[in-house]
Amino acid sequence: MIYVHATVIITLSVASALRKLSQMLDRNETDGMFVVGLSATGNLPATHFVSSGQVPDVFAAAIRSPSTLNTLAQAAFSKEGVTYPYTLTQVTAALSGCSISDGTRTVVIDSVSTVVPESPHAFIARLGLQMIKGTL
Amino acid sequence: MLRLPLRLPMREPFREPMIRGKGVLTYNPAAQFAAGQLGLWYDPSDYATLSQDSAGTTPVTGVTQPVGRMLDKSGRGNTISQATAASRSITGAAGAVRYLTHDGVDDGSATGAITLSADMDCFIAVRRATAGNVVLVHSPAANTFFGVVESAGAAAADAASGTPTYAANGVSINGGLTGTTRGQLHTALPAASWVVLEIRNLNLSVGWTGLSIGNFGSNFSLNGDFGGMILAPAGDATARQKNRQFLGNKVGLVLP
Repeated sequence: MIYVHATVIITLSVASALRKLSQMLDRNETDGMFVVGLSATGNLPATHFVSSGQVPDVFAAAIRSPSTLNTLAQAAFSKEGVTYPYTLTQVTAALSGCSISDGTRTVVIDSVSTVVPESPHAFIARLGLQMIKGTL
Repeated sequence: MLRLPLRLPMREPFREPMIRGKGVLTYNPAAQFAAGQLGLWYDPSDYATLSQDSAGTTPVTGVTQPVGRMLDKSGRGNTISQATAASRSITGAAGAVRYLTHDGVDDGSATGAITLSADMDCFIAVRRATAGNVVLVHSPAANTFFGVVESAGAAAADAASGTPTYAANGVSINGGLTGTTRGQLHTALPAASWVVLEIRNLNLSVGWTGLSIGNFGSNFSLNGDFGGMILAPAGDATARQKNRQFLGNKVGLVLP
């Protein structure tokens, strides 16, 4: 298994579909994603969800390509004998609600494009979001 | 007269890692579990106990690799794991110090069913990356945790864990009295510094059906590094010093 870094932020509207697709793609690796809530204020309700860390390279490629995700997901559903509930159009729509960072960001320093590291927290902030602040 | 060449006995290579701190210790934390005592011991510096996946198929061999499973070196079998790849901590190292980096978003791991007991001591080597909030250890049960770090937090640093006292790098917090607050832990665990946090005389006999590290959620997930953890029956001052320095050695601290 090859892992690559990805921080993936998804909108609430596509969360259900992407959780299901992720679960079915690899039950040993990508089940349980997108459970940490985000919002512009840091207060509930969550408008977005985030997963961040090392993910299988196959998954990282799939969430950047609707056709790849659709093909892999179809096969995964079929393998489990479950009817595939999505169309390519629906998968394309779901991924349109996805923002992905590979842990770096290109910035211009002294007129030169430079790739710099970007933490998941910085990526979340760049999208105008905050982690939901809970209380104990 | 013939003289035999001087023959000195060959010495075995020094197999134990050189221990810093007070004197040369050959302390092995496993000894405190030798008679079947309850507890656990996680050692992220020992790559032989780490796997990249939760099934234990792919071993950890170096830094910047995900850790899906960490074996319990206490002998109690309290393996801790994370099935979701993106939520796994990552191996890190600085010189001889090895640790697991948690991103403060969703990284953490949990044991399966576990049995703990009354009157336990917990030692955790931790380095916060930022001054954010943290719940260091929690149970799957609601409101069951200890080691809560929160800026200016006036509430107790633990719940459903008995009436423990806390110390950081061997120095008592709250005067060694019970009732340590989250704010006091926030002060005692400054960002960017390794600390061996001790939580003494925990009662984990009720509600601790499992144990999780790192990913409490609700903006209380660990953003920083985990250098090891020992949870064992409460010991005397000598036993505590040994556990404290053992973890201190792992992260480059010389402790009282």
